[in-house]
Amino acid sequence: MRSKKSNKILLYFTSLLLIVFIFLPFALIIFSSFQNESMLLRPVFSTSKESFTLENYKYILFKTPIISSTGELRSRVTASAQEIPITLKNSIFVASITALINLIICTIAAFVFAYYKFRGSLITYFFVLLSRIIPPIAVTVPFFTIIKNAGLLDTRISLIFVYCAMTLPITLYFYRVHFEKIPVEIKEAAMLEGCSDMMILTKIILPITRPGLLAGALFAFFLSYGEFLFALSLTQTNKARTLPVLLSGIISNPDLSYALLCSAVVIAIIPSIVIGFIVRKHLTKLY
Amino acid sequence: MKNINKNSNNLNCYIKLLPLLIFISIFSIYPSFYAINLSFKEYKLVLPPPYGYVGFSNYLNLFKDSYFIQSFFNTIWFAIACVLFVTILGFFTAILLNNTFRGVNILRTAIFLPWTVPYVTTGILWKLFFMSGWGYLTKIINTFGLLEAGTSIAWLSNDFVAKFAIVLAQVWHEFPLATIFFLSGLQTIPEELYEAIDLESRSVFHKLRFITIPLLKPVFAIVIILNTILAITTFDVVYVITGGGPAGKTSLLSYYAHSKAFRFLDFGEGSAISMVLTAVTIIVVIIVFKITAERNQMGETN
Repeated sequence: MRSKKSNKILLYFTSLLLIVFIFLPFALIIFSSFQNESMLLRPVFSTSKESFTLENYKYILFKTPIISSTGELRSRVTASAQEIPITLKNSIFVASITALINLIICTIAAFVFAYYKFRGSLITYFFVLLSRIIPPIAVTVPFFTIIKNAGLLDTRISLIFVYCAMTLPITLYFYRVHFEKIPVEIKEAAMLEGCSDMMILTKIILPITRPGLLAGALFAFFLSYGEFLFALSLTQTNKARTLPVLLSGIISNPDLSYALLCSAVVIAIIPSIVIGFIVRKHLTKLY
Repeated sequence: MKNINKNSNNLNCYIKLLPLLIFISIFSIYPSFYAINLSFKEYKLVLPPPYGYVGFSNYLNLFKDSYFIQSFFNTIWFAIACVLFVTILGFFTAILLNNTFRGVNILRTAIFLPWTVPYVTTGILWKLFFMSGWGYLTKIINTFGLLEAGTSIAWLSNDFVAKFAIVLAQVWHEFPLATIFFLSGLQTIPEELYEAIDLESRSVFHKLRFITIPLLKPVFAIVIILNTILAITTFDVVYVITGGGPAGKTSLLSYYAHSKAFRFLDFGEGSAISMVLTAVTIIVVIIVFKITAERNQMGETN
C-alpha cells in the first residue's frame, strides 16, 4: 500500500518535471511578448501591471507606433517586425500550393503504386523514397545556381518547386500506407461490377481515405511552413521571403527589439502548432 | 484484366507517375549530380568565370582544414548525443504516460507541442534562454538570488554550455515524436504478458528488460534511424543559437558547408563538404539499418 502511494507521488513529480521542460520556453516567450521592451531587458522578471502591454502585437499587426508609458518614442524598434504579416502571407501561400500539388500528384502516384503491378514498380518506388536521403545542404548550392540561372531567384514559385521535391516522397509514403490498408477484395469486387480504375479511385478509395490524404497534404504544408535552409538561400526580399528567414534575420540584428521578436515568434508558431496537432494522430500509423 | 495487355498497362502506369518522376528528377536527382560536379570545380564567386575542374583538390584541402575536421567530429558527437537523449527521454516519457493517473490524457496530447514549432523558432526560444544580458536563464538565477544582483554570464561563450544548448534544442524539438511512437507501440503490448511475468518477478526492471524493450525493437529502430538522419543534417538550430561559435566548437558539417558557400562564396569547397556529409549520412544510415535489422532478427529467433 505504501509503495503504491509513493509510486503516485513519483508519477506526479516526474510529470511535473516533464511539464516544466516542455512548457517553460513557451511560457517565457508568451509572457515576454506582452511586456514592454524596457521591462523585458531587466535581468529579473518584472510582473508589475505597468510592464504588460499589447503594443508589440499592435505594432506588428496594425503598424501602430510604439509609444512607451512616458511618452517618448522607443528607439530600439525593429522595423523589420512590421514585415511579419507579409512574410507570413508568403509562407502560407508557398506551403498551401505545395500541399495542393502534393495532394494531387501523390494521390495518383500512390494509387498506381498500391494497385498496379508493373515492371520496375518497386525500383521506381524506392528511387523516389531514397531521393530523400540526400541531405538538404547538399542540394542548396545547386538549387541556388540552377534557380539563379533560370532567373527565378527570390520568387515564390521557385520555393514551391523545391518544397515539392522535398515533400513528395514523404507524402507518397504516407498515402501508400493509407491505400494499402484498404483490402484488395474491395477493389476486386468493384472490378467485377465493371468499375473503371478512375471510378474505383474516386468512388471507393477517396471517400475511405479522405482524412488520411488530407493529413498527408497538411504534413507537406507543415514541413514547407517551417523550412529554413532553402528559403534562406533562395529568397532576398519580401517578394518571396518566408517567416523563418525573417525571424532569423531579426534575431541576428544587433539592434533588435526583443519584445517584438517574442511577439513575432508567437505569431509564427500558431499556424504551425494548429497544423502539427491535426497531423499528430496520423503520424503513428506510418509504420 | 491486368494480364491481357501488360505492355500498354506498363506504359499507362508510368504516364500516371510522370508528374512525380519529373519533380523528383529535376529538383532532387539533377541537383545531386550538379553538386558532385561542383565539388570538382574551383567555383569561387570572387573569381571571374569560367570555373575549371581541379580534380580532387577541394576534397584534399578539407583534410588540411582544421575547422572542417572539427566540424566533422562535432557532427558525430552531436548525432550520438541527440539520438541517445531523444531515444531515452522519448522511451521513458512514454513509459510514464502509459500509466493511468489524473490528467494523463491531456499530457499525452500536450507532450507533442515542441515538435509542432518550426526549427528556427525552437532555436530562438533556446537562444533567448541562454542569452547573455537579460536571457531567461540569467533572469531565473537572479530571481532566486543565486548570483550577485546584476551579474550576467555569457553562457554561449562557454564551450560546454554552447554544445549543451544545441543538443538541448534538438532533443526538446524531437523527443515528442519519439514518445508518440513509443506510446503507440506500448499500447500494442498485451497486458497478459506483464501478468505472466508478475508471477515470477515483480521487478519493474525485469518487465522492461524482458518484455517492453524486446517487443518495442521495431519502434526503437525507427526512432534511432529517423533521429540519426535528422541530427547529422541539422542546420537551423546551430545557425540561430550559436552560429558555430565559440571558435567553431559547435560548427556542424551542414553549417560549415553553408558558410563556406554563402559567406565565403566558395561553391566548390562548400559542395565538397556537403558531399562528405552525404557520404557520412549514407554510411551511418546503412550501419544503423544493419544493426537494428540484426537485432530485430535476433529478437525473432529468441
